[in-house]
Parts: sequence; C-alpha cells; structure tokens
Amino acid sequence: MNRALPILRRLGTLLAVIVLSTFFLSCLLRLLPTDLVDMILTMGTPEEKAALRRTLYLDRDVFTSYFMWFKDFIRGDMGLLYGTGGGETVWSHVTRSLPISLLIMLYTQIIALVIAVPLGIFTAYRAGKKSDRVISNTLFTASSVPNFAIAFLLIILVGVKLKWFPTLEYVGFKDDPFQHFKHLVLPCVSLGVGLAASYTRLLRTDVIAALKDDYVTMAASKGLSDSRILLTHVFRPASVTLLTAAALNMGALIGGTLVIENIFAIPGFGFEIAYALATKEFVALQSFIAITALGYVIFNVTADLLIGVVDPRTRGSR
Amino acid sequence: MKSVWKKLRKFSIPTLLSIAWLAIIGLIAIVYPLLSSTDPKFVYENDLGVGPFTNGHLFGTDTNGYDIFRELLHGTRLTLLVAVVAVGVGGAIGSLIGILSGYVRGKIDAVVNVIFSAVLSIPNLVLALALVAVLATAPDAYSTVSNWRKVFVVVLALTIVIIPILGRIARGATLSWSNREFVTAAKSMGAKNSTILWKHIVPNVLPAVMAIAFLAVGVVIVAEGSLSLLGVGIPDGNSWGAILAAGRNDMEYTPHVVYFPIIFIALTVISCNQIGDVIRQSLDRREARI
Repeated sequence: MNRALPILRRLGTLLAVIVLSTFFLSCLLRLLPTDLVDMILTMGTPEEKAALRRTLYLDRDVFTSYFMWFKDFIRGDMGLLYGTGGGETVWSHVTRSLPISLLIMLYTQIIALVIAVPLGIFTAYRAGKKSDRVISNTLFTASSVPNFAIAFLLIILVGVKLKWFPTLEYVGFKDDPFQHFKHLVLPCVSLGVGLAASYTRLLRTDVIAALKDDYVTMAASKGLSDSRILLTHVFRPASVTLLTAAALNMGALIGGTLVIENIFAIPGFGFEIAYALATKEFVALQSFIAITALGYVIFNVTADLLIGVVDPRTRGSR
Repeated sequence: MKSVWKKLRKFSIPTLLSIAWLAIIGLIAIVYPLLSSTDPKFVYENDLGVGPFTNGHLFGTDTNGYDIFRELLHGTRLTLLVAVVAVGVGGAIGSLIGILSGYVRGKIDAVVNVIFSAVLSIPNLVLALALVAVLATAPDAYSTVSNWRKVFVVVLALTIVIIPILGRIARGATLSWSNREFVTAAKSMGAKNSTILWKHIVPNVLPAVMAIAFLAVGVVIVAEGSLSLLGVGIPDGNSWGAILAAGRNDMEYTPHVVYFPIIFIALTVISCNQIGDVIRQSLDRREARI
C-alpha cells in the first residue's frame, strides 16, 4: 500500500492534467467569434445544420459536450474533415501523418545522442582546457539558434548551392529506404543540432561531477580500465540526466517538428496541424492538438518511469 | 557613469556583446519610427532582388523591390514589442499566481499546480497556434480580421503561453524560500503575511524569475517567427519573422532576404540566453554563499 500510494497519486494528477488540457481546448472552440456550424455548412438548410449541431454535441452544455467528445476521442472517432466534402475522417489523417512525425523525432533524438555523447565525455575529460572552452561556448551558442534558422541555412548551403540533399518532400521507408533517409537528413539535422547542444552541456556537467565522486576513485584504485569506469560508473548516472533532458526538451521538439515539416513540405503531423489551421478545420484541430498534448504527457511519464529503472534511488522518493 | 563602467567591466566579452546588441535593437525599436520618414514598403523599381551592398542597399532588396535593411529596422519595433509585452504581462500574472499559491500552499496550491501542468502539457508553439487560430477568426465569411487585431491576438496568445512557464518558476522559488529560517522568524515575530511576502519572499523570488524571463524573451521571439512561418503571425512583413516568412519563397534566387532576418533573430535569442545564464550563475553563487 505504501508503495502504491505515490503511483496512484501521480496517475490521478496525470488524469487531471489530460482532462483539463483537453477540456481547455473544448472551451477554446466555444470561444470562436463565429458559429462553428454556420462556418462548416455555409449553404446548409436549417435541418442539416441542426443535425450537424447534434453530431458535434454543440447543442449540449460545455461539460456534457466535452465528455461526449472525450468518449468518442478515446475510441478513435474524431469526426470528419469538412473542407474535403466530409469524405475523410480525422482518424485516417492521424494514422497517415503521425508515424512520419514520430519517425522524424526518433531520428532527431538518435542524431542528437550520436553528437552529444562523445562530445559530452570529451569536454568533461578536458574540462577547463581550451578545447573544452571552445566546444562548450560554440554549443551554448548553437543551442540558442532557432531550428528554423538552421533549417534555412542548411537548405541554402547544402541543398541549393551544393545540391547534396533534397530540400522538399518525403519518401516512405518502404518505397525507397535510401531516398527516405536522404530526404530526412536536413530536417532531422536542423532539429537535432540544438538538442545535441543542450544534451552535451548536461552530460558534461554530469560526467565531471561523477568523475569526482568517491566510487569512481574507488573503481580506479581497484584497477578498472578507463572505458569500464566510464561505461558502468559514469554513464549510468549520466543517462538519468539525459532522460530528464529528453523529457524536458520534448515540447520544444514537437513544436520544432511542426515548423520544420512545413518548411520541408513533409506530410507529417505538424503539416496536418498547419493545414487544418489554414483551412479552418476546427473539429480536426481540436483532436490533433489533444493528441499532441496526450503524447507529450505520456512521453514525460515514460521518461519518469525509465529514470526509476535506471536509478533505483529515485524509486521510493518519486 | 564611472560606476556603470566599473560594473560592466566585471562581465565577460560575450555578455558585453549581448548587452550591446540588445541595447542597439532596443534603441532602434524606439528611435527608428521617429526618425525615418520613408515608408518601409517603398519599391525600388530599378533594384529588384539585388544583393547586399548594391546601389546603397546595405542588405540588398527582395524581389518586390523592398529594401531589406529598412524593413528589418522597421520590423524591430513590433518584434520587440510582442516579446516584451508577452513576457512582461505574462510574467507579472504568472509570478503573482505562482507566489501566492506557493505561499498559501494546501489545496489551492495543488489546484494551481494541476492547471499549470495542464497548460504546460500542450507544447507552447501548439498552444499559441490554437489560440491564434481561434481568436483571429473572422466573425463571418464576408469580413476580414484587421492587422491590429492579428497583432493583438499574437501578443495575447504568447502571453498566455508565458504565464504557466514563469508562474511555475515563481511557485517553485516561493516554496523553497518560504521554508527559510528568516521567514519562520518573521512569522513568529507576528509579521503580517503581506509584509513577509513583500519584504522577504518577493525580493528573493524575482531574480529567479528574471533569469528565466530572459530565456522566455528568446522563446517568444522564436515562437513569433514560427507563427509567421506557419502563416498566422504578424502580417505584411512588420516583424522579423514576417520578413523571413515573406522571403522564404524566393530563397533560391535571393538568399540574403532569408539570411538577414535569421541573423537578427538568432543574435537576439543568443543575447537573451547569455544574459539569462549570467543572472542564473550569479544567483547560484549567491545561493552558495548563503
């Protein structure tokens, strides 16, 4: 019971957060300065309008309509995209575009880690020396540069001038694996640079702290090799920081992916959101944003649980 | 004046450059609209899309014939106005809520915490997008949304985004400071809550909020640029993001139209982060002394 209580309390908070944020979106829809039904059915008869009002639960009060919407949302029934003549379901757009965005985020994290881990360890071992100062300062600057700025620079220099990589559109992995990666290099690098910079900074601080710790001195005096110490004694605590950093940066990454997808014309989730926005598909937009919030919350919880797995000390206290 | 120099000498060169850059653009934002009599949208018909340093166009022109340097100086005002108002107002509201709820604790604090978490669970750009989409919709198909309303909506959306970010920082700082001995001492001496808040909590919490506020200015500038790129930001090239968004279509032919707004945005964000970092470090050092 003692162990279960904090977990239950956390789950309760989690549920409250999800319900509140989706409810907040529901209320936002009601704040529209115009009537949603009139907007969708500009030419509709009163009967048609009344029917649509019923399907969207707009004839009920805010709370009932929210819970009806939430029930449908959980079951994957997210309504239609009305601009296309009402032919396409929101869910079909989600299943088509979400995997692309998740893939981009995965590649971005991999790129960020591939850059950050060696650099973080290198700068930590050379802490205070010139090479560390140069790398650290460069990274601090790089982490402040917005990712759309990096994207435009890469497009002009690598895409247009050197013609090394394509700058537009997307190719599925199944269609052509080589082209798939080639098309995603520039978007993922422009997202990954800033992320890599913040990971490196945190990793550097962590490794420096760990190297000063008693158990590392102990391990060294036992005669363990440097690489062994690094892997088992230094890297394990440092990976906790990396997970926390990944969780903290997730929101920025989601927002970044949204912009980057639109710059590179990749038909991912961010592209769908921007399209729904431009064509005023508010019904779809509500579900899209709710999914984003849900994904963000789930990711943070997963990261928290993983931290518990890696670092047993935090299991009780969290 | 001498004491100001003495204070400035303590800072490192990157910090000084950051302060200088922010001072310059701050000055441009205030002074340029007063000095310049020419329209930023003046069309140089003979210089369409020329590169930097040609025919007196410091940063070149775009394919419409607008002078990029002049557009950027003109756009500085709205860019900074959006950032400063959003962070100022959002920070003030957020700090107020955060400090009060952190000081009162109990159920109210728990509720405030859940509300902050709920708003923060929507990534800030996505939240801003949703707010702008809803608030900048015309009441019917026959009317359009005025430019001033669009600007107002962008500011409002970004303010709402900032409230929980800075509010949570203020709350966290208040929670830790209100446990300190001097607060307990003041309480046991019978000091009023308002006195404790004003004399002991606020002076200690504000620096922590200030450090994050500088980072938040950077976040807002990037968010404003992103909104422009997504087509819902400040209209008609009146901010750096809007100039960038307008220039990206001709990126292949006139890349300088993209470079210069990027440089302005990046330098400003880097400067804000640098100053925020310096404030945070000096706070840490002070904390270590206590």
